[in-house]
Amino acid sequence: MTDEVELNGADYRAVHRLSDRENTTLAEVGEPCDRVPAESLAPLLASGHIELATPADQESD
Amino acid sequence: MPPIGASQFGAFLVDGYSLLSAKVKEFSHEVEVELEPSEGLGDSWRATLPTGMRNATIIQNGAFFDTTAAGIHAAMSAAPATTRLVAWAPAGNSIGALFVACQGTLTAKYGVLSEGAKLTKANAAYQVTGALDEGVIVQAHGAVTADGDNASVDYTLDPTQTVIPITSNTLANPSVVTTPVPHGRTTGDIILISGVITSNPTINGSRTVTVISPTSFSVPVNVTTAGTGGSFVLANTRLGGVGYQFASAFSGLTGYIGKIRMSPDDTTYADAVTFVNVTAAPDAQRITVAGTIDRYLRYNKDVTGSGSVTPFAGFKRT
Repeated sequence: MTDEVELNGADYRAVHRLSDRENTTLAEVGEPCDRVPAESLAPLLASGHIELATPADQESD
Repeated sequence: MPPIGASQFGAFLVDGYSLLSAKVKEFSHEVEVELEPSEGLGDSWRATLPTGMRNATIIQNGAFFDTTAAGIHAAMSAAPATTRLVAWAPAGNSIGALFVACQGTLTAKYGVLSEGAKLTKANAAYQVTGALDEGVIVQAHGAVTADGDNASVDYTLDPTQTVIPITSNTLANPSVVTTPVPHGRTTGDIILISGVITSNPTINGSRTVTVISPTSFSVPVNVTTAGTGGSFVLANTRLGGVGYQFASAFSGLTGYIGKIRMSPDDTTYADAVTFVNVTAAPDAQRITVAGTIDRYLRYNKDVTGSGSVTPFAGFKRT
């Protein structure tokens, strides 16, 4: 339940535009999150800013 | 919060008109709870009950009468019955300081006062038709000439937050936290725990809450040695919020876009509010946003062209 598993950004899609502190875009809405720092994925998921990609999403990449 | 002096009154904008330059002498905002008589036959004393309605009034007195293009007379005299956006910064014009604003504000009274041997004054009273919004400044009122990002505003450092003490946390997976007073949280809230001792591993840090009872909740940590003490504050809110942006001056540029971004970790940000492109001043905007508002807020400035704009922006969590 509490084991921490490192998430893979390519498995997730941005729900909102994501950017770094300097406002450089990391992912537009619907894009994969492979440029998002790995340590940010879990908090972004908890906040609803990213979601797990569907198989259809991944096939379209 | 230490006492605040008049010199700290940092900004006062009405629909983008900056009225501090008119040297307002007094400013007050009052919130009134409406009451209804509740006594009846057999009662010998007056009694009242709150109706559940509140109303707010803003009063400013003693400003110098000023007819310059962006002065107080231009702001007040043209259409006193028009609804307005009003914002002020009673505790300083700095990022993270208190921001108060309201929408739907009607200028209920505007008067020009001339007295012998004195400068002419302009007084105004506003009736607020909606709620007062109290939040934080994300862009201090001042000139902007280039793109950039402001410092992050950390909600866990907000002085209006309630700090809830922790009695203990159990040896368990997940660990159960007990509080001596009702914690007021709901499942899914993210809190920042600090000051817990002996817990191994520590539960200090940012944690997601699963509520068990009004005075207990669990956090997803596999604790092998129980802990005691500490406290927590809320690290996000989940009922949306409202962003305000004003521009009191604009010259040379062809456009200006302000944006409020949010982040749970101060590393990766998501867009929260993007204001409409500003092409002239005065300008005032209010945009609501639903859902989760993360711990950190950050204001981004995007200018087009060469020149200057003087924005002021704040955000209120619902």
